[in-house]
Amino acid sequence: MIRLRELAKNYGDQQAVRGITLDIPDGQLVGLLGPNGAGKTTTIRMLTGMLAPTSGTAEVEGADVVRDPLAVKRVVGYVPESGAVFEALTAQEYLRFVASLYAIPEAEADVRIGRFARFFELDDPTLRKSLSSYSKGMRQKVVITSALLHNPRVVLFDEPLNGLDANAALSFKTLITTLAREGKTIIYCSHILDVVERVCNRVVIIHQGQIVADGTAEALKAQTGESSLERVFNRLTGTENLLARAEEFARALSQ
Amino acid sequence: MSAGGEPPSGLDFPQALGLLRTTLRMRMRVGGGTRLGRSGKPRGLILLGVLYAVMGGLVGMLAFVHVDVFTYAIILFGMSFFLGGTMVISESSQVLFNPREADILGHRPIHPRTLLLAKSLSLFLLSTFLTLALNLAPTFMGMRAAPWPGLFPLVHLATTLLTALFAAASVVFVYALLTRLVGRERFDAFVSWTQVGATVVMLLGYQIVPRLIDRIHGFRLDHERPWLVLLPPAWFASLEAILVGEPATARLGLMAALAVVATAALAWGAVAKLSGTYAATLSALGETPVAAPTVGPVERSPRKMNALLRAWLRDPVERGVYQLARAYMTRDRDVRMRLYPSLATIVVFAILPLFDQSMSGRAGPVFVLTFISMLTNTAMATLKMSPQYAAADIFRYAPLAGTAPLFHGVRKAVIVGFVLPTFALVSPILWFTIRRHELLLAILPVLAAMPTLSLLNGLVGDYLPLSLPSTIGRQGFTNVMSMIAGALGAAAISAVALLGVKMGWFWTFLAVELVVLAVVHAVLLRGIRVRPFEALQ
Repeated sequence: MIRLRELAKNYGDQQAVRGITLDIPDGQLVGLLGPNGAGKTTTIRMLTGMLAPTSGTAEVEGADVVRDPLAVKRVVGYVPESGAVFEALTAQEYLRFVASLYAIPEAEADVRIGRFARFFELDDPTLRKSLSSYSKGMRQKVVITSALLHNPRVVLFDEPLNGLDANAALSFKTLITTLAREGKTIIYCSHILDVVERVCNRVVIIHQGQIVADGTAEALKAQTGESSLERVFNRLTGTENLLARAEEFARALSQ
Repeated sequence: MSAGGEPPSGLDFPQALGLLRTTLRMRMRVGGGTRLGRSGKPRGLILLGVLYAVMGGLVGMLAFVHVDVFTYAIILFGMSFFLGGTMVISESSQVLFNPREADILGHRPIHPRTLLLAKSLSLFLLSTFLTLALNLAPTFMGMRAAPWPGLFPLVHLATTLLTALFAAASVVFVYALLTRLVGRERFDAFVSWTQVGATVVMLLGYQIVPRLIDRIHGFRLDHERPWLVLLPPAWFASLEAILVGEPATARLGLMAALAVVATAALAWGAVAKLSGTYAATLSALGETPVAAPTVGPVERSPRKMNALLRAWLRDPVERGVYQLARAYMTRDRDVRMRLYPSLATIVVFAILPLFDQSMSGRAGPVFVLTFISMLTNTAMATLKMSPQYAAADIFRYAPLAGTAPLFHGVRKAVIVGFVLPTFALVSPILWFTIRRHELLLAILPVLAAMPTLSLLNGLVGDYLPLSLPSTIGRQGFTNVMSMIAGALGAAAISAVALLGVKMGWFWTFLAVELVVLAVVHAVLLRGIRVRPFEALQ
């Protein structure tokens, strides 16, 4: 269960998140959408307990992110947008290292690493290679594994499909729907709207730090009278005169 | 190309200036582009400049002790060459060989010569800033030593700039040559050890020249001595001496000519002749090697660690961070290039008694050991920086109550993987280079203080390993401050210990020191343990 009440974050004069109120029950898979700079990543980072809100409250599984950030961090798994890993380590070393941060015993960690490696088709020799030699997609598989290694009850994905090939992306989509069915609460931030439309059972759209839409994809389409989530998004986040702007841009290039 | 066709030389100056501006802006920006969102002045570089200006003022006082221009200049240029050169070396990794740059610049229409010229100029400007800071006061104080005083400031300024250019050109030339001589696979291994070697050479030159001068009465070094031709600072000192009116002998003229010719040849060789292989290596560094070899373990598997180490690393987080730090110390080029040159100071001080017999009877060995103890702090500061600093966010979203296990994990990795091996390497050298072995007793109080000294870093801010991008001046300032702290520590501990050896109360002193250290150690440990983990604001 995730519970946000008037959650806000300012960076100096700039209001990144402006009083978001939201409840996400257990087992729900929520797609969090918004244009660039809308406040998605800031919201997610506040939910991990790593970024302090300016005002408002946020609770994850009953623990307040400000008063008890440790309790929050224990139950949250996070895939950051950066996909950054310590590249001097091998994948196996990195995953063992992450396991140590969550106090997972070494033997147990190896079992879990093996399980995820099989799922993502990473064999033993590959696991023993330096992460600096991994492609972006392979690295992303390691990042996703590292977020799930401690079996978190809440999982926050920020652009998790970055770099994944079509097969891995399909595996991932199947994985998250399975995780949600098993009762995990999942927030899924992405710009790939058709994936969100297919896998998420609820969609929240943020624009300029505020929620502008909340419901199932079907309900949002019905409310706005649009035929797809992409069109709903386009309508609510204000990209107007797209064709005219594209033509003007092309003209400027040829001048 | 900025516009139009490619110039025959491949050098596009407007484009080079644009690249230079951007390189400097990026390197100077504190935490630039990080999610911490901090911005501001390069404080490390500014503090380093102030420090060098003070040092220059002290050295410049030589002008008041009847020194001649050549001797005055060789001391200043020796220091300039060492301080400017080592700074350029420590920054060169990020400036010259940033693997991520291939994705940003590799596909742009930039000729390799233009790219290398822009990078070299940024290193030259850095070297110029530091050498000018060092020579600020001596530029005016030296008027006392010159036959034509009015000309001295102008000449000294020009020669200082030439020294800075020579230091930057040497470093760029050596690295550019390295890209031609060794392949991509061996480049990473070679480059960090070349850096150590270059630092040792510069430090040796800087330390040996004053010692040779010390033996000459009246602070006058005979510029006709043949071996001076081997020392670059002597070339620039000769040039300066001739330009301010000293009689130009053939040897002085030869050395002055060497200053100009060598600088021009190195700069031309690097930019005009070696830029092609440099660009190819830079591009290769950014590649993702598909068939990369499997990496050997940094340590035996945690379950197979020796019992002592395992007991010392009982906390699983400490153990994980220990292995992370060991991996970066042995595998990451950027960390190695910042870490291992600090060994140069230790090695040079250990072998100095070979050049100066009087040192072997004094406190030199104790100074060496104190420098080793300060290595922990230098290395820990180095391990705060990494090109993958964004990955350190994991420490903020993992359930950690404080930074204590992160700090101790890195500290222990540095002690086991860096400080103890250095100690093992240097101890036999010291045994052979010092004559009075009873002085080795004085090493014991320094050794006893090592664990406590290594805790000092834990009290300054949140210690998050590998969490900072490296910015210009940050490492240089850290190294200089660590050396100063090491020298002060040596003065305090070794002076008392040596006095104790002489007066016969050494063992009592050691016992008292141990008790005091135990208390201080416990207080520091507690201070580190209770430090809370702050959320980002």
